[in-house]
Amino acid sequence: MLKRTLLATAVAAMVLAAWATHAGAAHSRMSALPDTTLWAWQRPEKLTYIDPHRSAVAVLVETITLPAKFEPRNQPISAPDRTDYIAVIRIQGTPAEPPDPNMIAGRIAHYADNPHTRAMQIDFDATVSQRAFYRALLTEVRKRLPNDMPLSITALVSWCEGDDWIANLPVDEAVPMYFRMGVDQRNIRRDHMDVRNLREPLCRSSVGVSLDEPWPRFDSDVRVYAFAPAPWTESDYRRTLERLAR
Amino acid sequence: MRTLQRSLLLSVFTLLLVLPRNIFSCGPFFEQATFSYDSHPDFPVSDYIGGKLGILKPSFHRMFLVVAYRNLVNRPFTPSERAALDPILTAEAHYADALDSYGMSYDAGDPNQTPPPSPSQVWLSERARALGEKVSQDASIDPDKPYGEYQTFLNCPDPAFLNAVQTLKDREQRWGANSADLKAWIAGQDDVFSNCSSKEFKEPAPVTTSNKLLKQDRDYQIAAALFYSGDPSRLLVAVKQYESIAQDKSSPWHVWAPYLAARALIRTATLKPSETGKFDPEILKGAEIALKKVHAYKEYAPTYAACDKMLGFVEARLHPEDFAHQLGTQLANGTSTNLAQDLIDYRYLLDSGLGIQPDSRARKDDLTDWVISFQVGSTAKDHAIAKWRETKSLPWLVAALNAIDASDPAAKDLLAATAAVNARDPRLLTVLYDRVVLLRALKNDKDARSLVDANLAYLAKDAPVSARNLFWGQRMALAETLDDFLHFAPREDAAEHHTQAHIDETKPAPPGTPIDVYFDTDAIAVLNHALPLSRLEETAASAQIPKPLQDEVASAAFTRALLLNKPEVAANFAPAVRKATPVLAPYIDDYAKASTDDARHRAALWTLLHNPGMKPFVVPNMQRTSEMNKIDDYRDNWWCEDVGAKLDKTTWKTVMGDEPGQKAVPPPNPQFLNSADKSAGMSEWTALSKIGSAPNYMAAEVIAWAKTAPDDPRVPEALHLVVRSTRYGCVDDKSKGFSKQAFQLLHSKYPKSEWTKKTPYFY
Repeated sequence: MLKRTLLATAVAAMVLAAWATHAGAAHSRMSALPDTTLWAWQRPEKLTYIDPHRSAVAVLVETITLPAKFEPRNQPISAPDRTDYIAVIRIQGTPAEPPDPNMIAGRIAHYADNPHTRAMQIDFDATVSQRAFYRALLTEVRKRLPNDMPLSITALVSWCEGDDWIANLPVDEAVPMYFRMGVDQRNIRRDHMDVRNLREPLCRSSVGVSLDEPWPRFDSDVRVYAFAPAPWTESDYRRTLERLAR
Repeated sequence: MRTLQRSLLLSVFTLLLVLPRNIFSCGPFFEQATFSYDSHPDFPVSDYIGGKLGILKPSFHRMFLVVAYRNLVNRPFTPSERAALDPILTAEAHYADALDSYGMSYDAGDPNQTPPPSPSQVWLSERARALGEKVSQDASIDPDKPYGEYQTFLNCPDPAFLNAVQTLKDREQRWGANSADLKAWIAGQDDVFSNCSSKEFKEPAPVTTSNKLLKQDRDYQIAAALFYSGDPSRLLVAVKQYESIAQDKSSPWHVWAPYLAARALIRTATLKPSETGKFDPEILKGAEIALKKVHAYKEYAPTYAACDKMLGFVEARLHPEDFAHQLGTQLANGTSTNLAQDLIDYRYLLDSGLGIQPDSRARKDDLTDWVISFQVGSTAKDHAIAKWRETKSLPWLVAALNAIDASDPAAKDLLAATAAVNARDPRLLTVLYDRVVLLRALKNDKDARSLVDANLAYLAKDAPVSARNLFWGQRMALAETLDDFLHFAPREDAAEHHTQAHIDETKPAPPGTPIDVYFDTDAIAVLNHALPLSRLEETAASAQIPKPLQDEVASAAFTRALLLNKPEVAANFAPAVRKATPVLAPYIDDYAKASTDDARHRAALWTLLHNPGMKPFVVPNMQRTSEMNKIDDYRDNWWCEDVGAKLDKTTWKTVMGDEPGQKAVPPPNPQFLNSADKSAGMSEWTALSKIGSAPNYMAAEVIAWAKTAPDDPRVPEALHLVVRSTRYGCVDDKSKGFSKQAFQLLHSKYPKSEWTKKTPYFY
């Protein structure tokens, strides 16, 4: 009996330790960054007014249309010197055959060489048939990044509530996107407007919101990625910080 | 033994790490019908360019408003102009859709087509072929040059590679495939293209050869390398180099050299932002002078079009207001020499905010003034009315109608003006529509109804779908009978003609293309909240709506009858429901066999518990895609606490403000219902709206059932299904309590039931 209890305790301890190590590593990689991030999307952005101690900038650096169309950023971006940049790569397209993940991973990983890059983020609404490709791509990208560089992905809220496919991805966070949700927004707004209750732990440490759509409920320590439907202005930025009470 | 223990431990540990915590598949993409486009006209846009304007909306992207203006002032486009505009406006419409859906441009690509090789890949292939080499798998030329922290700019555009391929083939023919001169030329070109993305400059070495053409090519390659350096000081050297090439009249490059010198100046200016702007104005002025000078020389005629395009780029930056005014004038009166480019430049200028101020120089021309006034609507009401009174033109009539409401003193004059236009003119559907809206706002429903009816055949046959649906919405609101209401209730999908029928959007859908129809939110509001079951029976049997919509109404009304305990009404709907949804047949039979209220109620609960697709209301737009008796992976199962009162809209924009706490839409009051119908409808709706969300309702009722009839063999399964509904249905803060109660009841009273084993958790 004692032996069984000890065994059970050992198993529990191992599971807890494994979970803590995984969560801890992810947390520590991301925690070096400010807890509010402005998405700088496909347009010129002048963010010289932001406080780099309070806010990072996630800048869309390249749009990749599968299988192999590459469109690097053509719009200027400016922010204070000490700003932490997260290089965002958007992937889109549903070709009949997915390309070689190594080729795409190489393209993505070279943004880590930019001395301003503090983290990488991939934005890809992968369809069910693209999940194997996406998993292989993320695995390959992770291998190519420096060990201490965080890798973030955006996630459809349904991924955070759904069939668990993102649970073991080699990423530090999956940012649930609470905007531009399509028809799914009805269900999400009805049932999943609390980030704290999302089933997938990877989704609970951050949240993606837009200035022009309702925000979900989340704790004050959640990392917030904010999207503006038009180029950011200083008043947008101030209002965002006020709303977040940060 | 110890090994076995370790193995077991390892297995348990591994399982704990890999087991999924929940299992239901998901995916974010749903298809929805678009009843009326807001940002652009219907596809194919060639119809619109040709004058079939539909109903103009201020939310149209500005390119479409320019085209509308030209048609409204009766200056239609020539066939060649239409051909030039079609691809630009089709692309703009797709861009508008992406912007509406995602808030950004989006290119999903075509999964059925392999994209052609890029011009840079073609160059690499041709180069390798000429040298007798194989192209290595990872060979590529990045055409973008890094600039700033994360920015790049397109340094080597596609024509550069295509020109290189063409020149390669020519020189190969002239000098021989394996000649040293050809190899030298290719080496020079390699150096040129190495500057496309590299930060390190590489200049082709000068050649010592008697081959004059090679020397001239090399001069050109050196200029190109300097051009692609991305370094302002080297770009200024490139300008000199091109100017020198222009002087050499025997060089094959001398005709294009002045144009390229000007482009090098533009590149220099844009890579040298001034303190206040995005470019160096003095250098850009130099480019302006150089480009204008080209027109003085006939020998440069092949470069005129390219120079004009570049000149537009320069003028838009040096003199934006004057250039916008110039373009506005040209676009309005049809004097553009390059219509497509002028439209692109004009859109760029207006999108940057020019012309918003009433006294802006950019707004001096009628077109720009009209575009801005139409878009700002009531803000420019007085101006639009004054312009209409002054000009009596159609564009200003449209702008004034758009700006006013019925209380405006100008309303009657404008209404009179709308009566004077030809309602069958395909350019003027907007005026006809605004007349209907204004008549309704002035409480003249009779004339509004007559006006639509007088044009019914025309609208049904010739109006674009987006416009027809809007007319149908107005006419439906004016219905005097249920049949009349139902005739105008179904709406077509404006996108379906092309997307579902797999027809090229640039071409008209062939006559007879099958089109599905749906209810929009205006019809749903009446069906769900105003019509009593007796009128829903008529609706479900009405020939005014197609079979699928009849079935939807029958299904909703049948569910409603079950919930309201109206067995005789349910029986009336049963044949139609049984036929449309055979999986419901056994449940319908059981319900019919029940002889007491209690038995019927339990049969109704049994039916609902097994069929998550059942809802006591009709759903707008496209329907739930999962089968009636299957759980929908996106939790579109049964109904929420509002029992369908909150009508969903079709795009993200329209749900802004759809936050918790929003009040339900008030019930409509259709004029075709008599007081008895209204009273019955209100009574049914009041009873239905108190039912609450399906999981909570079913849980409360099944728990009561289990307590009053614990030996009923269906109870364990019903309790299991209640717990399931609290996982996959629409839940609130009370649902967990219901889930727990049902779970505990199941486990405490029926511990040996197979349904208890299948219910390990509550939710």
